[in-house]
Amino acid sequence: MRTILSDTLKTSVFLMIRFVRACLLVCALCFALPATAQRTQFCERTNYSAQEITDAVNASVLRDDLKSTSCTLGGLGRFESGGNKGIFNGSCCTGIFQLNTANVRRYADTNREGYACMSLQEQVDAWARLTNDGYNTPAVRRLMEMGTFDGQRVDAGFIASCIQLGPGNCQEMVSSGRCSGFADSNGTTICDMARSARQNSDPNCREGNNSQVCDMGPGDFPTTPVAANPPASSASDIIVGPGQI
Amino acid sequence: MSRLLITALAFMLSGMTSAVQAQSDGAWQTMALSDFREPSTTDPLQTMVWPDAIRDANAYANRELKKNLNGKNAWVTALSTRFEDKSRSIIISTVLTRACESGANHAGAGVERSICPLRIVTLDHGKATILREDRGCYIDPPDAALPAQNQGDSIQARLNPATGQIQMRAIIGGKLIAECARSYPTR
Repeated sequence: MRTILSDTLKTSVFLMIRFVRACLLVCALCFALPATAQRTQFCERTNYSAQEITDAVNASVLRDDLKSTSCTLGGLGRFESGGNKGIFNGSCCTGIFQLNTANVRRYADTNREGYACMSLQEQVDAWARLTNDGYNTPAVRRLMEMGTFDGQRVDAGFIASCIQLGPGNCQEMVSSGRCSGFADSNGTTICDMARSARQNSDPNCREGNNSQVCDMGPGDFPTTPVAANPPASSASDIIVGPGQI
Repeated sequence: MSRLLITALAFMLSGMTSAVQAQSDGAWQTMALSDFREPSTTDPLQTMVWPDAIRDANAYANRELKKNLNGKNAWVTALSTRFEDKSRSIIISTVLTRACESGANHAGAGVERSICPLRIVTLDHGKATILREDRGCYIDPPDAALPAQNQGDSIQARLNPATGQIQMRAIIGGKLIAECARSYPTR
């Protein structure tokens, strides 16, 4: 009888110790986890220029009308990642255009580390497939019909920014009628992103075969609704200095 | 001392059994992740709930991504929960495919939900019937690379046994996401 009781006690103590160890492990994991998003570098750190990203965009499967302003899209890549294709932002997004993990799986059939280690061209191809799909969403179609939105010209950079921040989020902005209708957790709006993409593009950027300087002013987005409804001059957000003409 | 230990063990065991029983007792259940890369002829999610989604993803991987899948499936994942309701089983599932509307792609963004195809399927004596097709929220279960505030992220579902209604909700960063709070009738 005493032996049975002793065995039971031993088993209980053993299980209790394991339970306490498991609890301590959970606590240790909780403290080890970062409280806020920690950026992670996968594979090599790169510093692709806006022109190099533009060249990859031009060589990608992106639809031709968006390629017409690929210089802005090179700027978008610089704005998102600083040209570093191996960077994970610690919460959702990886690579040159900071694709979220769901889109990495859907458009590249891999995980964030696999994506970060792909070539620049492979990353841009995945982003181009996502952008082509997003082109047909109601938010994008509506923006293209509008021509201007809250005083901002709707150009390819604006459309790409709409898709970049998510068609659902973009629809929220469109429904509100204001740039401030959607902002991410850092307060970035789609209008801010479009502006930053333009600012980050290479001023000497050349399209495709390097024979033609990018046209990054009004009218750079050759869609019928936009061309048929040019923005008022006061709505233009491109400031051209005398030396730039 | 031994009485204390036995009480502690009994408490731990009761916690485990209540988690199993909660499947259809109206409590919130975290929807579990399934990865369809390994083909299965017995998984009802692959054979009865999402065979068309898997087929489409495989075709896209072959055609657009130029991938040789070597007998595997493309990387399709789904969340699901199974409830027992009277004599039938009910599976509710959302699947991450190109038909989803996902969140932001942006260095300043955090974890966001995707809104994806949703199916509610009943299994009755081996026969599957799609009760409802709709849209519902999807997120991957958290991994260690995510910040502490996202370690409890989940999509949850519960069945009200009295009304037969399934409710879904999402918790991301410790907050309930309003657009993911949805109800679906099953009767």
